[in-house]
Amino acid sequence: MKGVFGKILNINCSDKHCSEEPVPTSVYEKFLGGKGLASYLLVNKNPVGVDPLSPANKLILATGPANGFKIWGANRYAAFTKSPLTGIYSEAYSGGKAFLHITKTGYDAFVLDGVFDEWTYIEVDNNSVSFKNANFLVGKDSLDTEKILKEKYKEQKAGILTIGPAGENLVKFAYINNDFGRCLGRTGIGAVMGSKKIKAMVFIGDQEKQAADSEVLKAFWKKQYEVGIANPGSKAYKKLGTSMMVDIISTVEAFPSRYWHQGTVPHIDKINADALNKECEVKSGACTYCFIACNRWTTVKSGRHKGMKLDGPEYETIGAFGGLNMVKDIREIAYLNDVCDRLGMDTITAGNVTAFAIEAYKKGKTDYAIDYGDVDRIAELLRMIAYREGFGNLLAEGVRFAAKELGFEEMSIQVKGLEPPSFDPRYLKGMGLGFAVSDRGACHLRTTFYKPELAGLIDPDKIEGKAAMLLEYEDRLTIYDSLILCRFFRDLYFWEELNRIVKGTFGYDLSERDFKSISRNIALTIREFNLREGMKPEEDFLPGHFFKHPVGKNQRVLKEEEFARLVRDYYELRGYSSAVEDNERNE
Amino acid sequence: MKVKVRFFGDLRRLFLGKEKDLTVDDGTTVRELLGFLADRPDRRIELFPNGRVNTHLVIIRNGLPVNVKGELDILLREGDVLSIFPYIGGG
Repeated sequence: MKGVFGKILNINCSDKHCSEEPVPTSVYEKFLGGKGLASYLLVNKNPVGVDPLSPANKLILATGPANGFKIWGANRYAAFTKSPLTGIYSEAYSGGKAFLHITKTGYDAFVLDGVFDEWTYIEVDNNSVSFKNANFLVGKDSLDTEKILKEKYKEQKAGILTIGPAGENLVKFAYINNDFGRCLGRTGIGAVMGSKKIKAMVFIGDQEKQAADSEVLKAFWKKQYEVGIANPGSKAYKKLGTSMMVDIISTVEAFPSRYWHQGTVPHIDKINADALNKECEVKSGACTYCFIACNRWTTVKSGRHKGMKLDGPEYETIGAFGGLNMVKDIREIAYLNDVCDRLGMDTITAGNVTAFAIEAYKKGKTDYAIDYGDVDRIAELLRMIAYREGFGNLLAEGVRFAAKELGFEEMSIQVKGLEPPSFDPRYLKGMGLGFAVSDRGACHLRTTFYKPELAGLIDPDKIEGKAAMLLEYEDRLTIYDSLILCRFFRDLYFWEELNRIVKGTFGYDLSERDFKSISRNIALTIREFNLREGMKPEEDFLPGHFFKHPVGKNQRVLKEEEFARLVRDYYELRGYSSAVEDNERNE
Repeated sequence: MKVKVRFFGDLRRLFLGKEKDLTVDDGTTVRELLGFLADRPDRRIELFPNGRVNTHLVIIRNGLPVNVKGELDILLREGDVLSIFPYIGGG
């Protein structure tokens, strides 16, 4: 087959048996690869109702048809599983350089099953898999683990994936690190890796895929560089990174602050892109095959963290700690970013969890004394979470669980167990719809709908026609995830460009309609998975807080009937049956 | 009437500051305001590349986004605050 290897590798950690499995062409035709292929595999291979942290839950790593070819932005890999945080479909994507090494082993996906007797790291060298004792790595943080393995494999070019203490201790929002701070961040995929006692994975390979038409890809490469480099987005990303969002979101008072009570913070000038560039030495960095270079390689220039180096902080981390936790100094946010990276956990959920803990203390729900902006206490709590000590053990389960245990469900800000990123849905109603209906819970990336709402393409308040526009974004970005392209090419790659990529790799000539039909196949497959794993359609909604408590000077709040209309419109367009019908079917 | 324009990102360098207070005639539109701001060749290129308003700009008027493709002819009002961003990306 062209464009893909046409096979996957099953790795059983329990009996250390590996088996190659061909993937029928019809699967690629229906689902492309990446997210599409992995969703197909997850539905078909995962036992129904499996405990996410039990050996039988599959951890699927995948690269996409675009990966391995010289295509700008085709520089990510992904993981799929049943999430321990949400109990439903889980997906996460990560950039850097690791994707290329994973691709070059010669498989489109890896399906990891079972559990090792003792801590192990897996080495995949082309079609040869070795299982190595990882006792010398246990307890090491995710970045040090990568450093040690990088040294060990310095002769080879290797892609290295690691977990930190949070993954080892099955913290439900543990992440998987690669390339020193790029990560498969959300939904606790690192805990699933930890549950299998896999401390790290090393990928080495020199397999090349065959392109259906390498001339098409060559012309695309040349043209997209010319178009892309002239796009103002490239300049903005390079200079400011995602931190450019801080000022924009704060200006419209949709920057969630003080645990979802405010829409901006008084200290915004201390935590925005200008502050980052002023207080730190920031070098832009790029993933493989990218000219946008949004990465921030940051060195703190002054204060108590002087000399600290890290990848970040990105917008979401600034929002989580600078907004939700009211940390007033970009250097301190950088510090908390580094703490989370090393412990190996998702900064979005971590920031939501610590801010929830602060709010819970203020309302007398806990006796762990902590206040907004108290960086050292927040850092201490993050460590307690990673090692599951005391109160940290409860918080390691995420906001949904902790809120229930503490009797503080009115502040259980999550959708299907996933805590939201830094966009307030009371202002950005379409983004709110994205949170409500995304396949992994409150996720901004499946639709990135903040973009059309803030660019003035559709009024944030507008209900009419909003679900249809959201679907356009979701459909196109589902194709991105199935080819595995970076989100930040969304202003460059529309249907026509996606057609070129598929033509050059697979050789198929797909129209917008064809692509949308593939996206629908994928959406319905994931829907089937989520319903079968116990998700209730009424969970396609937002927490009550957003309907009861207005935010900002303009006192924005969601109206139940309006929001229900958005969800209903989405259902109809997506081809889902209504909540009522689903409930009847289940009964 | 008086309006305030706030600049973000690289626009601060281009307009030599974070914000400008301007006095404009009644009946001035957002498009005309951008025209007043484009008083030098480098500013004109940024705001009106190819002679048309830069569609990558994000303009927030009193907390609400202006549709750069469709709402540039709306009238400004006394006390309006316009925040102009060169681009929106990230998240």
